[in-house]
Amino acid sequence: MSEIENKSRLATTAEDWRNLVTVPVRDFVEGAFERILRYQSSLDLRHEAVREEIFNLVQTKADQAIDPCMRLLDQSMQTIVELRDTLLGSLNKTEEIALDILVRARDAEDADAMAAVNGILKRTNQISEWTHARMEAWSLHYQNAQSFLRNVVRVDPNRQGAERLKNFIRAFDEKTPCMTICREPGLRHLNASFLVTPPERPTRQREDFAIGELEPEAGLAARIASGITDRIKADLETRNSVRLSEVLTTLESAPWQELHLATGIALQSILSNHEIAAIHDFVWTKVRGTAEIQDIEIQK
Amino acid sequence: MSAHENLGRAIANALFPIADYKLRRRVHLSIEDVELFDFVKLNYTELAPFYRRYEAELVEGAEGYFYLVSQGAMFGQRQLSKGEMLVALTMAHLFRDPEYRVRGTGEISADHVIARLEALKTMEDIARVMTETRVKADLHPARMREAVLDAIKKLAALNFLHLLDSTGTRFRCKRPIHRFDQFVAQIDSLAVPVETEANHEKQ
Repeated sequence: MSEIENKSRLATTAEDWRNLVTVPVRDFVEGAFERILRYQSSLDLRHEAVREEIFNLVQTKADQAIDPCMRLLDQSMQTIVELRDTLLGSLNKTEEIALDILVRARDAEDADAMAAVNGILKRTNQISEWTHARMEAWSLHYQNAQSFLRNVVRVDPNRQGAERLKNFIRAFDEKTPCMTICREPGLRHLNASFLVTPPERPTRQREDFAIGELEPEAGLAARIASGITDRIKADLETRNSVRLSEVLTTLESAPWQELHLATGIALQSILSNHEIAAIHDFVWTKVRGTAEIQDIEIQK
Repeated sequence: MSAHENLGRAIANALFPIADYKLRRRVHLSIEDVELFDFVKLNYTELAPFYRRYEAELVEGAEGYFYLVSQGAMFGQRQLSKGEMLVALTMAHLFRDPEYRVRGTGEISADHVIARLEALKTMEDIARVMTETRVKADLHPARMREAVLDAIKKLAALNFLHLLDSTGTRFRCKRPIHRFDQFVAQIDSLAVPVETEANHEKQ
């Protein structure tokens, strides 16, 4: 990916982008990621095998199985922790590079390269999710098996406890005593004799603020919102598409809070009246100071 | 620091109201609920005599959990229903089974509970205990499943298990489920001398 990133700096024409970025990125997705997916499947199988091995050890050796099982569990856990650290580290680096290439591809307006890089970002997300899910599954099994070995196998190697429970369930009927717990607190009924009327508090009309308009249609935000939609309509009469960030950057004088609210109001009518050509999920565009938006391209 | 100052410090802790609220409402504090369990564990010396003043015993289960046993009228007592008890005993039995704890992922379903129950009792016996009735219409499998799911949700509220879905069909048992092993062991130990006595009398 680093190599592709370096080459993307040299790409000037569409042909360059295709040969130096799009094709190698697609090869990367098909090659490296497919290998990772295969490795993931083999790890899933290995986890199943470990579970089976511990089960067989417990079944055949009872309390003699505790030490070998604990070793097996520790080894498995170490493997998955190492895998997580390596994989997530590499994924972060890959994502960082992919985002750099994506920004360059966007500047060069090369849709194929952008789609290829977005493919990488989708795959990295999938692998990251898988890694977290597997980490959780292995940890849960680790805790579960460890607690089973410590609290069941070690304490009761001959399984007398399980046998006792089984017999108790078999004999359980309407006369069997049940476990006692604290009683649920009952509802407290309040009546006039219990309630004490609170003292009457003097009130007066507040004078320290004026009550404002509640409807956004009458406010500044609504006016800015209609300014945004008018500006988009006007721009679309002369061009095929317009970016939301281009419109927002021209509204320097609008107060920040109102602009934020107005953008939301304007988007409701924009989304229902216009086509959105592309949503650049991973590209953040500056609109004012340090404020950025996830940009959208609005078509006629 | 005096015992009173230590108790004052424990009560002033932000976790006290949550732990106290749960304990009084029959919730078991399991080692899996790290913060609350640690709080009670660290302050057990102060909290145990505190609850004794309410005629209740703060008990620590050997497998890592705390619960309150009311011995008087201040907190009061009630028994689990027959259905809740039978389902909880079956879960405790499954929780001791390496098939679920080691070969499986530790996840148990309502179907596993029903299957284990059916392996140990007749359908009619299960339905009678679960629905606490002898009305034939109530012995229908669908009603029994409903009663099992209901019991699972009630046991989850007491923190014997952690629900993996809101319907109660999938769950993981928590350490307090071992309290049912202790309960059965106690009943057994009480039953044995009586039997032995009876045998001696016969002899």
